[in-house]
Amino acid sequence: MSASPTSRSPDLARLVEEGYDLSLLGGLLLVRRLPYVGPFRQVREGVLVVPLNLRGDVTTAPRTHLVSWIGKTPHTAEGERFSAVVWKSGGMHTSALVETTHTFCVRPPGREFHDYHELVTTYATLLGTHAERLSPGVMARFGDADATGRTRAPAAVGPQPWTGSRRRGAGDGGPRYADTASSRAGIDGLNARLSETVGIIGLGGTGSHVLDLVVKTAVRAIHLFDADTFEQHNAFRSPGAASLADVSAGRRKVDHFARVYSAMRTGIVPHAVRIDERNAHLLDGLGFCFVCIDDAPGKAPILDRLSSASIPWIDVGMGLAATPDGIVGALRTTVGTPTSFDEARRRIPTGPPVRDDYALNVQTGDLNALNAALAVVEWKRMRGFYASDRTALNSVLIVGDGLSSTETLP
Amino acid sequence: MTNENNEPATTGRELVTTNDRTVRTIVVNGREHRFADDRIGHDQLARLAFPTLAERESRSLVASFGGGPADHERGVVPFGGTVEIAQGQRFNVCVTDKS
Repeated sequence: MSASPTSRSPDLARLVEEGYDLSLLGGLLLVRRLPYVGPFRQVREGVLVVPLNLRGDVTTAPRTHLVSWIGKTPHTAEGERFSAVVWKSGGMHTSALVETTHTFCVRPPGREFHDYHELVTTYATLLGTHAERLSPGVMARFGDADATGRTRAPAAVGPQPWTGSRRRGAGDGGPRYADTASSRAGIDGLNARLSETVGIIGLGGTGSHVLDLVVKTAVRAIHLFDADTFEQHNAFRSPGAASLADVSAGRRKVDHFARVYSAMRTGIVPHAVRIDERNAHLLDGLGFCFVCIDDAPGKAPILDRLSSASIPWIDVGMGLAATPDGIVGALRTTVGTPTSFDEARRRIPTGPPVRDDYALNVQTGDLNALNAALAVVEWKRMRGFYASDRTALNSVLIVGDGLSSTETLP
Repeated sequence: MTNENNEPATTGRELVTTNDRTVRTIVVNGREHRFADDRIGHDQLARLAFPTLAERESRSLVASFGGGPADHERGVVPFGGTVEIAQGQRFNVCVTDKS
């Protein structure tokens, strides 16, 4: 490995000191000879492939917790596929010289990894702990190992893996304290109908309110997707009360909201990415998805992927204009299901923003909240939480007179 | 259909009848238009509101109205559908792309 990135990057230098075998290939960090348990409980060595975020040839905080792997499918010491780590077969990070076999997904609760030392040691420990149990001493060469040869669990790191699976399993979460509102009302049984993995793409005014409502339901996990930073103006269209420190911290929206709502439940997984063609596969494990983004042209790859994966979705949008008489406009809630994906998409703007005095970006927190509530109510209808004998395609609420109109499927 | 955005406002609820067709004044997104038909379609409203918008995109616009005929005074224009119009009827057409 070239001297400069390790010598100038404290996190990489520390990994070398602790006995990790590092090499750099393009923008990828390869960590070789990592012990793990392969199929048939055989202890093997594999290669972790980590995309490096560099500035001036020095590492900065990792942008993603997703890494790739070269090796067999990791298993636990018991011989089970290690689904808490392995998200999917096939690596994300590959080049002409590196062909990866799997993608791993583990992250500390409520945040991304602080640096590459934390990232590499977390993955190495998760895999190595199982190898160590079958082959004691195999992890001893790492400085991280204690006198008994057993690796310590990384401090303050509780993995929250994204398994990409709709099955109940690792990555699932739940409330930190009992939902006594539901038990008092005697609707605990209905909550089970909402037990699925939900995605929220876009944490602007409407998406943040969707999260505020979904987080209080019995969903198994909530995956948040947004690459933007939480800023002062966002506070005025989001639920709750952000402090001056919150709006000054420069956190990504996904991290801000995961942090806030992790006070109430686990299983909130932030993904600080803008979903496009290259990473739309991140949505594959969802059971349901709310699409709450302003970028109309950017919706195509999202809706393409959700539809091809047969994942039902609700897309929300508002069109408001300030006139001398006050604000006018409408809220839209559009439902895509396997029987209506194409028809639903015709109701959704996907072109560039209209250049017109009448189509300025007017939004208000109350209408963001209302649009979010309409979407969440519709999702609950779809899941049978609310009794309904119709299948909605598109609902419109006119702000000026409160009139609503819903198109349904035949 | 005429599209005379800058013409002075018509007086009161005046109707003009030409060649057996009643020309009514309607207001789309705050601008007056004179319209020579008894019904107006979603596509026509889209063109009046956003003349430069591509047709494919204009299909997703939400069009609502007030001041319509007595039996349908207010409502939402169905996607791809038409509604009967009244003199002075006000339409709001919007692109619902913000969140």
